[in-house]
Amino acid sequence: MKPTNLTSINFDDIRESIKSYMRTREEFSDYDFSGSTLSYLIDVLAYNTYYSAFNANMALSEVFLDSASIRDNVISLAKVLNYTPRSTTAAKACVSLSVQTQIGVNGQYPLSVTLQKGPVCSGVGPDSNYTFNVLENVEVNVDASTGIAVFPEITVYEGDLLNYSYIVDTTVQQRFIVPNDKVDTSTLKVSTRPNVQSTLSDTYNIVKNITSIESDTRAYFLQETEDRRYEITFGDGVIGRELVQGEVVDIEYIRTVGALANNISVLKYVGTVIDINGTTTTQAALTVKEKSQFGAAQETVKSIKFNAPRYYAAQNRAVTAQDYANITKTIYPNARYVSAYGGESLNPPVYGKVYISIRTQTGAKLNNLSKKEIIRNLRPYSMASVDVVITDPNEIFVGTNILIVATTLASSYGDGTITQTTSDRLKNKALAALKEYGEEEDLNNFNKTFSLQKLANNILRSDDDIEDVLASVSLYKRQEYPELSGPRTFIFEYGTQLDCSCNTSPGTTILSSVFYTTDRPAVPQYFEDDGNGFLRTFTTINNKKTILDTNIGTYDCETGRVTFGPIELEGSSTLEQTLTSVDPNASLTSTINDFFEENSTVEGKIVRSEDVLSVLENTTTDGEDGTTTTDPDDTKEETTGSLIKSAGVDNTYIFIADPESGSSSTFNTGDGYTFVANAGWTLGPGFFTITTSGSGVFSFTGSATGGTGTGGTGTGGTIGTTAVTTVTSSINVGGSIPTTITVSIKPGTTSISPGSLLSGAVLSFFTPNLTVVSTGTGSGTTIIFPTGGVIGSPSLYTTPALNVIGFTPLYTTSTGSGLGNCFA
Amino acid sequence: MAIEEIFRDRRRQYKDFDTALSKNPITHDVLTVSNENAVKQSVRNLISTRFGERLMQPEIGSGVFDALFEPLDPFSAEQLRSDILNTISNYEPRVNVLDCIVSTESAYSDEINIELIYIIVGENIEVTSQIILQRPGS
Repeated sequence: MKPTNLTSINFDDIRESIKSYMRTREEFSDYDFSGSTLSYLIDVLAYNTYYSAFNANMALSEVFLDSASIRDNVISLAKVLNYTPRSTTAAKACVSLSVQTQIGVNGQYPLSVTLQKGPVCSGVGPDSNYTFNVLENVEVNVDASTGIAVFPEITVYEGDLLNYSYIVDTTVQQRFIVPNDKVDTSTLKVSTRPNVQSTLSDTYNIVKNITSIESDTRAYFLQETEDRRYEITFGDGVIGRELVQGEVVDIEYIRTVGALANNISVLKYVGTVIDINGTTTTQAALTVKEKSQFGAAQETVKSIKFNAPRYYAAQNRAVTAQDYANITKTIYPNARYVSAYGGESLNPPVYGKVYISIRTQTGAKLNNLSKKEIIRNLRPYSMASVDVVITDPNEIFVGTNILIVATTLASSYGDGTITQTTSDRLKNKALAALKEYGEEEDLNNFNKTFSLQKLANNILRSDDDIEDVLASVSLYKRQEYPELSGPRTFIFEYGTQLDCSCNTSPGTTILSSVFYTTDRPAVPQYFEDDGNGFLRTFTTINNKKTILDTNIGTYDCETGRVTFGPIELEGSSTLEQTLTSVDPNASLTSTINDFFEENSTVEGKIVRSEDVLSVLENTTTDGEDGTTTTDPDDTKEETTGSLIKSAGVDNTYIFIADPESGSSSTFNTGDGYTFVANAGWTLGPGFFTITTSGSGVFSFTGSATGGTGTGGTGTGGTIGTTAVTTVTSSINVGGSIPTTITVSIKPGTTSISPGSLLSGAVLSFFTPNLTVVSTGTGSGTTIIFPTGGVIGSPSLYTTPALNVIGFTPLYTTSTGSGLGNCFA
Repeated sequence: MAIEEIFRDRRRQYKDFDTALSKNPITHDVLTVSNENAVKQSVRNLISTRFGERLMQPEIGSGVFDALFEPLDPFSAEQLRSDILNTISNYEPRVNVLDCIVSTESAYSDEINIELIYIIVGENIEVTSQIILQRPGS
């Protein structure tokens, strides 16, 4: 009988195949019964075959880079593609040292001192103490008058500075393997000496491209070999200099713990400084300029399998946009994720340029020095006439609002309430699930899709006590104020649809953080959507929203593009304005015209209360065109501005002074002032009291009675007689004002992939708002779904926090001050 | 040929290896068992197999061996009995169990006596199979 189903590697299939053979034989018949001895034997045979098939399959899988899983095999395959996996990277810190030298025998301070290579400082990490080293001796001059030597910026590397020597023996197949794992190959130094006694050495440089190598070039090649170690190979006399019998190969390197030594900001000096006279100093004042960062583990198998073919495809030259991205990764190790795209894909197109967005290991933005350095290093690879532009990632922050409904089982009291401990546990589980989701999807990378549904499912599965998860998402974008003054248009692109389903309800889709404008420098303002495709600005006084300007920008629901401006934002560092609130219980009989409508304004001026009559006496109305004029010389201490009605339901009005007029006036606390309307509307005294000079917003309350009429028809209303309003408290809005503006939107979809519309877009998480509620069977704790309605849970789409200034991204490894010039 | 003999020949033949894989002293072949003996051996194999013992088929077996190390009170005896019946009904379609008696000399004995009375399907032969399981080393 011919064997059947030879390709199967499934145990049951193999077993069935053997049984089908047995059916053709007459000797035995009990193969079909599980209890028979024959069945036992068939099991053994099938298992043996299965084992062999699995081995064969496994062995064959290891031949291909796609399917290989054992690191040594992956390395071996990557070697064919001329790809050297990244080694463990030592954490590095930047420190400055100040050393007080001793006066020498000649009565003078030494001319220079040298910091010896090796350990310089040590710091305490989460697990252990770590030592930081300099790789070379560092020499600086000594101040002749003070005797102080300053090492301004020294980069120190965590780990042990080790060395090892090989004596070349050409009679055998010799391998030069760095005899440690966890070696940072970027710190590797290779040199040769003619013999053991010699102190002169030649330094060898690593080379990755043989096209520029001569037969006598002192160069070495590096490749990873078995057990995560690295092997050094030398030239053969044609490509690079060949080693000679008896030569000594010296290698020096840092063995490091990698990322464990990151984020150490307190370092203690342990180094040795020797001055030119030979005096050793072991005391120095050490200042940490950049805490330890950039420590990283060896490149993973997954990363090697991803990068090696792409590196090979680039062939050491940048032609396509992807080539630029791949080469950037190799020439700038601090790049965690890179996205490159041609300028022709932009709107409007920019031809002849390739744009590269780099997300660094820490999440910090690149400074200009680093960008120029990367562009310079890319130049040898790039095509002629193609310019490289390095841009910051188009970062879109994802804010999630998560409501966790816990089961009754989670309740410790049996009444639906849960303890703080349970609540914290569920929050921690949810946070861990969120992190896990982000890491699994690699969401901080470019061109990734965030799915709120998947996130909610992850959280739901994270703990048995979680019964339901309600989640919403907001997207945030941030822009810094421009350095140059003048009006500017701010464009926020989200690359996803906006939720414009609530078109009739303004302010539900878009909301900005607080900002100040030059025309109203003391007015904290925000902008929001008006429900009709335009933006409007508003301010809040005593928790009441007042619309300031309408049609101050636009938004597009389909493309997610929000255009704000043109507007000139106030970027000064401090504000001196003090707002004054008014006692709402004060007896105000002042009148104000009911003509006011929401968003309408009346221009006028503030004058001291006792001067109101004189102002009115000097106010004349032209009978023909109805314009009202007031002789400015006849009023005292006045400031012009606008009175606007708050959007609040009770009568609250706000005076916004003109900046140019307010700056010249002085008002004293406790004095009463009155707003006198320009267009014929007269207000009584005692509405408000102003404490300092300058323009600002002054809120007051009053009744809306009085005369009627419209501008140009004459004076209306009467003047009230109430005395000065009592000042109850002052609200200081001074201090720092933001230099960035953040805009949040409610996306129209819960599956967000901005990369499909926006080049260089990348998502960033920050800590979500987590709320835990519990359900129970006790009275009043059961959540009831009304017919056709939804659960009466806390509103998920409540106004997001306005002042989202300090984001805390979840996945960055460091929140340090970024890639300072110290490392550049 | 007598009719009885014809029926006997047409009767289904069960043939299996002897579990001990003993040698026929004359032919030097592995000994075989057949018909009632093959079924009996199969039942015994099933009962004495632990769960997870069979390669890639962890669901085959019974809990009898594990019960050897537990005190055998009436409740666990009943549990054991139902376990055995379940195993046989699942994996040995050739028999129809009439009765199964699980007994021991005392609750702390190291032996379990299992007396199984069954009919081989299609044969109408009542077979009584007595299986004595003993703790290893006792």
